[in-house]
Amino acid sequence: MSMPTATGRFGIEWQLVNGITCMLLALMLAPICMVLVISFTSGETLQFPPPALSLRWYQEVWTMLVGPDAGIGRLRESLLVSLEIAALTSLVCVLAGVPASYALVRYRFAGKTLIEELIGLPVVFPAVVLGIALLVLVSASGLDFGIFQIVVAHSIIGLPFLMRNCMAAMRGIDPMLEEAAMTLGASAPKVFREIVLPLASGGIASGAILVFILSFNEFTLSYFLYSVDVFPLSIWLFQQANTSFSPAVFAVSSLIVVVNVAAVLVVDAVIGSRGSAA
Amino acid sequence: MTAIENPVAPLPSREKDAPIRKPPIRLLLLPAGTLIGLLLVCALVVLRMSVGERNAEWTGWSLRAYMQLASSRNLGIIIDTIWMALLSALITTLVAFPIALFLTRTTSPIARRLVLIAILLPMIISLLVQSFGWMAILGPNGLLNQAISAATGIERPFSLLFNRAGVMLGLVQTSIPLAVLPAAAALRSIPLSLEEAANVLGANRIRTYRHIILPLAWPGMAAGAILVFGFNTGAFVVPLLLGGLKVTTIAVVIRDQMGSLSNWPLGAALSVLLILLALAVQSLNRLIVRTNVEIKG
Repeated sequence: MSMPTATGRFGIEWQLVNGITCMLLALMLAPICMVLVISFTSGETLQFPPPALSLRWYQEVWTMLVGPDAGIGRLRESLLVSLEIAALTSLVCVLAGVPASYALVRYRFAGKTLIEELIGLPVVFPAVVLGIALLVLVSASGLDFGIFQIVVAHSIIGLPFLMRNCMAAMRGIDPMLEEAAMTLGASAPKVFREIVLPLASGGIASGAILVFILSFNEFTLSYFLYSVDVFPLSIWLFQQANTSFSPAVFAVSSLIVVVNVAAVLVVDAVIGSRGSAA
Repeated sequence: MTAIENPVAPLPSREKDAPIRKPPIRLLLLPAGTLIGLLLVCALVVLRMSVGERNAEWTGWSLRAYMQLASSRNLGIIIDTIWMALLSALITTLVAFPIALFLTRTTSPIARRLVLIAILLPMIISLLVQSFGWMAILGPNGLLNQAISAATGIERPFSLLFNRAGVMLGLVQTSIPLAVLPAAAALRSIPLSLEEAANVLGANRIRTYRHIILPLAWPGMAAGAILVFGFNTGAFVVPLLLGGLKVTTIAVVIRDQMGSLSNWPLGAALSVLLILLALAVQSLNRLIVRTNVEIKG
């Protein structure tokens, strides 16, 4: 009896750890669950518990998205803009992050530590400051970058997330494979295309999905860089919260949650299938 | 700065016969470098504006903005923000410990994976959406108040929305993953045999925690706490939505100064302060990680 309890995997201590963990997880997921439940209300208000369950607010959202008056609430427009921004951001991060990851994993050069530190900088850099400074730069330039000012801002903060996944995948590739291919006469681009990219594709894909979700949900940078023409979904949600806070907003939020959870499960599956890399 | 010293060990025969040129390092780093470079330009822009004069941010020179930082109102907000970040880091670290324990000790891979996903969700899902959920729970007619008034009969006993308690709850909830993951990594590195040895030698569980688990786990917990502190010093969305207009943080004040109040130098000086805090946090984190590695190595 003394040995099992020695490591705290059994008995009262373990039940306590289990209980506290369950309670904390419930608390952490409470706001998300709340959004999901209220979105199914049949009432006009956000009261909880809902008087009855119905899909009326999803129907409302559906007509806001595809109905004849879809343009009025700007929901469809902002959803499309957000998807476009998120897709472009993932693309920019992949194009910038994959070669840089390869350089950091396979090359040795002076100043490498410095560059690694700099790559991690956007994670800790205050988003408000980045947003404001970019806004100042954009207005000082006098140009209209349209959607790209948000894409670039999101790419800056997304880059470390893509590179972290990509570098982990590339570290798992045996350098002998690349050397063997080169010895057999493959050119450097061909080695990269036919050996490095396929073997690192899981890491690149999970990184790209993370960046997509990050960009799609991002609020602070969008808040400073949005314009009348480029009006992302997060700004739409924020505006609704300040004006007409109807359960329709909760229905839109629930759809976002579903998309987010699906993306997390995909990333989890991709990383999980890579074996012990995670 | 980025001179190539040694690409992947080249094979002698290949080098002689058909020299394969690896793409130059500068080219590989150029796109990512441009993005990071823009970030550095942004830091320089706020630095320049912070020593500029109001309405002449690019031409004038003045330290007035930094003096304004010391005014009682601004100093109060700075101390308030740092205090909230510290408190949230402390609470988050305490709360993260049992979750990290569960993650390292559970023998069920499915349970571990579910818990991991559950703690990552609050970090990934849009903060706006979660704030909506908190509003529905904490608001005057929210779940919490209904439950309490049903139990006690008091009408609208209290409100957690639009005050510091609500903001603190939001800050803790969204930053838990930052604290759990390093703590779990540290706990995982403690061999079970240590705990068994302590038990054999007669230590009870409380002593084992005090003298073995906590001392060995603390670098991970500290690293997590520092991350949470850094993350929450720049908090913007949570105070904006859950704090109403009553709870202001440095980030919210920066928005006000650069926006409606149009005192750009002051906003820029506060931005420089936030950047310095972020850099200090990152170096402190590196220091702890490095010392920890040295101990283990």
